[in-house]
Amino acid sequence: MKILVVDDEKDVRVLFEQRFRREIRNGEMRFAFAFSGEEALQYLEDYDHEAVLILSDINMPGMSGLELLKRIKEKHHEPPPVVMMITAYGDAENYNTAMRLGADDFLTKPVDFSSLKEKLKAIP
Amino acid sequence: MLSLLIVPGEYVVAQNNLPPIYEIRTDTIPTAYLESRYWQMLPDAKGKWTINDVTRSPLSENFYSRIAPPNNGDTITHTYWFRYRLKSLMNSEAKIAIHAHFEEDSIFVIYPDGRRDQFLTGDFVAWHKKDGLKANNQIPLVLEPAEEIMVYDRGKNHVAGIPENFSVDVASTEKIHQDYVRNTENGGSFFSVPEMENAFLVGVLLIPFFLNLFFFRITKEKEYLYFSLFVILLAITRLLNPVATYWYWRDRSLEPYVGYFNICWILIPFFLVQFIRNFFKTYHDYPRWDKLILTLAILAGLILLTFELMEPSWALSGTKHLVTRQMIFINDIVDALGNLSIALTFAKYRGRKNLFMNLVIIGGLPLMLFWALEISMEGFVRMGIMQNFISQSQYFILEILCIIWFVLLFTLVLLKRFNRLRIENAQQALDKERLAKEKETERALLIEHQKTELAKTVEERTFELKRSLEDLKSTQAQLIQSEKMASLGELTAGIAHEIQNPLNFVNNFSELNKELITEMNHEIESGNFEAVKNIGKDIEENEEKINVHGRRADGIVKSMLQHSRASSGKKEPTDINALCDEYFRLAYHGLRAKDKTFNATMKTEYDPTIGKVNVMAQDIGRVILNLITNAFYSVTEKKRSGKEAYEPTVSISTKKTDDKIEIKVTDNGNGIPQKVLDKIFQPFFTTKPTGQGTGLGLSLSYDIIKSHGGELKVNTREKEFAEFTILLPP
Repeated sequence: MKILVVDDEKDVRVLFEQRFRREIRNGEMRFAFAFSGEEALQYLEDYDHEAVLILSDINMPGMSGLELLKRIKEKHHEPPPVVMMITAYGDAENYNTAMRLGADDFLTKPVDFSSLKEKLKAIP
Repeated sequence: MLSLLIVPGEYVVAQNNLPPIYEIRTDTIPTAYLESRYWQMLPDAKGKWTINDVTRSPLSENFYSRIAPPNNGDTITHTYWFRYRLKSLMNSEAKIAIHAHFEEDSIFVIYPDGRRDQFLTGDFVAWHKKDGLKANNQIPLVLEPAEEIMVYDRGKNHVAGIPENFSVDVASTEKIHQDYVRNTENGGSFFSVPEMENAFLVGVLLIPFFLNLFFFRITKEKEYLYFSLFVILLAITRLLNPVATYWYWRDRSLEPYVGYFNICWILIPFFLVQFIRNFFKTYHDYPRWDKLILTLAILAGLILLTFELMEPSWALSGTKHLVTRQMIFINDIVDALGNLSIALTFAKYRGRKNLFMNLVIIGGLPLMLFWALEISMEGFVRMGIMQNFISQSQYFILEILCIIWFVLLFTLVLLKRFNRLRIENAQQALDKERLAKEKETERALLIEHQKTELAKTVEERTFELKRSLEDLKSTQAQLIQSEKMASLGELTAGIAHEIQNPLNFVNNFSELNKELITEMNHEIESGNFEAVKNIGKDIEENEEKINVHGRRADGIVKSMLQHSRASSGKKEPTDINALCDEYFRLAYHGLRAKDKTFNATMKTEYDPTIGKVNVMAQDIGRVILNLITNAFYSVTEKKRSGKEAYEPTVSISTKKTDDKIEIKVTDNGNGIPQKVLDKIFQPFFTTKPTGQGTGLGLSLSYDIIKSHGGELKVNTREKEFAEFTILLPP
């Protein structure tokens, strides 16, 4: 399972790689990182439909996570990648917008990695 | 008849139709009345014949005696010629006098030797033209014994008529002279008591006349004028008697004009009534009575005028009586009604307590009563009911007393009235002055009051101004503080996010390390030291991360505290790039926190050669924050205006030049309109909607940069971009 993580915080990469080092070692999961919405879209263009799961931050300079969600859900139809939004702002407005735009899940920071792991494992 | 006393002389049959000679036997009787057979007459209808005409044929033959034709057959005219003959039968001189029988007599005496004397006499002959005893209208003559004379007398009257009889005074000349002297010099009839009384009355009346005229001149009140006119007319009528008498004796030819004085009576009631009306203001108090009085006065005047026109009063009591008794009666009635209405009008005023009214009634009543008595008595006498029981002179004296009383009282009234008016006027003037003074004082007080008020107001205002100035100062200080706090507020959300992120990392990495340590223990137990080493390395790295993010959070909190604190005023070596980046991010997240739809591309370009610059970090940070916030606001506004292809971009760059540190904040927003460009650094100037901006941001920024000895410059193009450049000394 290929997972694309989009966040403007670069240390997210280290964090994810360590958190999921076992899964990575096992080959269960593969991670790709993008540090902005634009970069994420570029990655999806370049590696067509490789990622089945996208974890995106919402608050990013330039293209926001919600915008990215919208673009992804518009362009990449078959099969639609699972998009989970992770944000520091867990307010209702952000949640509703994300859900309306077709987000599959909505997680708030700080991320509970064990539950994230379970959620990821639950995805077929 | 007295003429019976005369012993008739010898009757001589007239030659040439001459009358018989009247013989004079004595000169001791006063007057001899010639019987009509002794004289002849000839009417001169045109009055143009001369003595020569009538002494010759044919006129001479036309003289006739009044016996022959009946009286009513006489030609009635103004001028008549008479002739008679006289002869003295006395032994001594006969001293006789021929006197005038007409108003103007030309007497021609023809002596036997043909000598002819001519004399002029008569009431209407001017004094200086008169002959003989002028006052008596007598021509004295002396007849020698047996002397016979022929007398032609041309008589002329203003009113046509023939004398009843014809007389010659045959008293002795001494007696005639004695009588004459007695009459003229002892004042027997020249200026008798009535004349003097009247003259005195005129004098008395002149006083109120002038007095009231004077009052009128001063007060301009009509009653004074009317009263003075009334008085002067009354005086003129009274003047008639002495003037007429004087003229009677001195120059009777002027007498007709004296008669005009009577015309005054036409106007007297009118002026009297006008005086009463104006004095009592009857037209105001009793308009109906007023009209009645006026009407009756005018009516009385008109009746008298009619009389004057029908039969002028200046004509001597003539033979004609065109003004009948009935007419005079009507006049009397009108007069009586007039008096009655005035009296009734006065009675209306009875209830009013009026000193003037009482004085007027006291003054006017005797005269009114007198005149009423006079009129009624005249009527009664005329009707034969009673005899005149007071003589003419008593009557005069009574009337004069009444008139003087009346005039004096009225003059007194008018004087009092004048005085009262004067006092009233003076009082009014005084009141006016007092009022003016009071007003003046009042105004002065008012002005004083207003001055005090004004001073007080000014003081109050000054105080208020001072206070508001102080308020303003403190408000300004507060505003500056609140501007700081506002920018802090903008930061808060961003700060929270910024702190949240490092804290998340701290937590995550520390949890991770926990896991790694557990794993490492497993590996130690299993003796897999290679794996242990790797894990240890990871732990170390993670620890490093924890440290970094912990410090990061620490820095943020510190800078926040710094920002909220008042400027320390201390310059410290500061990493400008880090400062820029920090505030850039803070601003971004702050705005994001407020506006979820907000997004912008952020570009940074830091010059790593800048190093540390000596600045007041929190102040410069505030400037940067302000510029970036403005830039984000501008691009957001532009995006909101709905341009599709618009990519909001804000960039910050630093650069070190030879002598300057340059920080540039650029946005591709709406730019700044040219017309407000010179205002943007003014305090409180803002283009943001009310409540959204304090208008202090750029102003404070400008001050801060100035205080660093730097410059804050702006370069913009409307609708395209805005670029703020901070230039700082290195």
